[in-house]
Amino acid sequence: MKLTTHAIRSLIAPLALIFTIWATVFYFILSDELIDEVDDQLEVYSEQIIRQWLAGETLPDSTDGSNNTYYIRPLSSTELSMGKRVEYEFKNVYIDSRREEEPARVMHTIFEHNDGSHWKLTVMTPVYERNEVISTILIATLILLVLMLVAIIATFAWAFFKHMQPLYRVLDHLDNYAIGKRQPLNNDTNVTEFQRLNASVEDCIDRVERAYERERRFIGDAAHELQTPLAICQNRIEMMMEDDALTEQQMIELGKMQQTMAELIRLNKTLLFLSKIENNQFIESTEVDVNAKLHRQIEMLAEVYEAKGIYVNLYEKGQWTLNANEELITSLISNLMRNAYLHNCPEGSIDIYIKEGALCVANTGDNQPLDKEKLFDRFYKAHHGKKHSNGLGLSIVKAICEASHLNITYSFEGDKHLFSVFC
Amino acid sequence: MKKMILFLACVFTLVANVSADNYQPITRDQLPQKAQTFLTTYFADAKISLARKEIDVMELSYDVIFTNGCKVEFDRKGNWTEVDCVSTALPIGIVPSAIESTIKAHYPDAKAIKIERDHREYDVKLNNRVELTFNKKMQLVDID
Repeated sequence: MKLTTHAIRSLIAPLALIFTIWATVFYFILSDELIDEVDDQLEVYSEQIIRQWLAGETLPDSTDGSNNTYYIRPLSSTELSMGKRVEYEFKNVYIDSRREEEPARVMHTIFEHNDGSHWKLTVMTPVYERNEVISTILIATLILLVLMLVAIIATFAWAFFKHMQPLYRVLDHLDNYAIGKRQPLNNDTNVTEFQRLNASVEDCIDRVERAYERERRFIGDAAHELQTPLAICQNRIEMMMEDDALTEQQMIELGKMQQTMAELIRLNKTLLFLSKIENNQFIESTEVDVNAKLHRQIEMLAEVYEAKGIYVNLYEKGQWTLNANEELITSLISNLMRNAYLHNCPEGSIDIYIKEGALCVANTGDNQPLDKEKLFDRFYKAHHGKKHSNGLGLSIVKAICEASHLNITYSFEGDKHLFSVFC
Repeated sequence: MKKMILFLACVFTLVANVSADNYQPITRDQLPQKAQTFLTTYFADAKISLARKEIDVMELSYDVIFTNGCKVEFDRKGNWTEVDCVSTALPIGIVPSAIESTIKAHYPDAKAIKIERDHREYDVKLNNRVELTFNKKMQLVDID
């Protein structure tokens, strides 16, 4: 779930609760104020009547057009002891002018006359609109509540999304980062946290780059430095073999030693080659006729691996001419082909397809797919103990593809291992 | 959740309190001491018809209506804020002497029938329908 979604979710519940409480309180206060207003009017009205009545002045007409009505009546002592002195109530009252019952607010006030007798004044005013007003207040409050909630959430979501942009830019930057191919991080922000994040990411990438660079240089240097001692060693063995005093047994052992030495030198050369490719030391590029290169390699390797009895099928569907380094393309084809020969089964077959922009090599072999993740790693061997394989062939293929801006994929289709190179 | 219910209950109680009846009938004894003294001083003979306590959100006040129609209002401390005798003259001594002499000078025949005061000014109504407004220093500021 997205951060924005999370934040909004955790915002909705408390906000809804707070607003609901707020709206409830607001609604009750407002509807109470409505009654208060009526009560205040009744109070003023009743006070006026009582004082005029007590002062012996003429009382206002009981139906003076204001819909307010009143009556005064004497109280018996039992009624006096029972009733409250001041009392309010809602009651349906028959209104003469309307000739029907209407809801009204009624106020009773008990007061004392100079002669000691008690009287009760009842004043009332109709409240036709009260229910309508209250329901209007309720609906308005609810609508405003929902609108407010939506507005706040929307504003929050917008603000949140806007301010989180640097985070998403950093994430994109990290997603797009490939080792050895550093892009500048364009993420201007004045937010301290994001500035820190930017700095940390840059620092982290710096360290990765340095480590990668060191490792690359080490392999190259090591392979380079090994060349001379290995060559000297090989020469010494050759010189030793020219000594006539050696027995036949010693000669055989020396021969084996020389073979191992040759393998070691080849391995070292391959490592050096790989390191050179990764360091982009093959810069010059020409128009390479891939078809022609392929034909030559097929001829050459057919002789080398004649003994294996493997059948090669070439399907030429088009002409592929590529602008790249000639040496690298030759090596690419050669390594792909060698791989197909080496990991084939006896009496197996190799199918080669070529068309403009794509070359596929499919070979029979072990009847199970290879590990796609590790396939192109250095010294990866699916099955240990296979001879004539140094485990660097496919690494070279991969490195050449990357240096020449080509793509390579592996798939296991039917019973064949299929390597596809395309641009 | 329980806390929330408790909180809501508190809110409702508060609201209910605010909306309680505005006027409560009281007896003379329940008036502040100062108000009672005022009544015995100026309305010794008058009989109380109705005494009430008015409760508002912010303030508390009292009013007393006599059987002759006179009305006196007090604030929460028992200081009078309004004395209104409808048509008869106010008891002597309620109207401050400075105001009394100003009235005498301007309207020799008139009598004060109603006086109101707050923290800023005095309002005096005469029986000739004239209303006078005095400031805190008892100076006449308005005639209506």
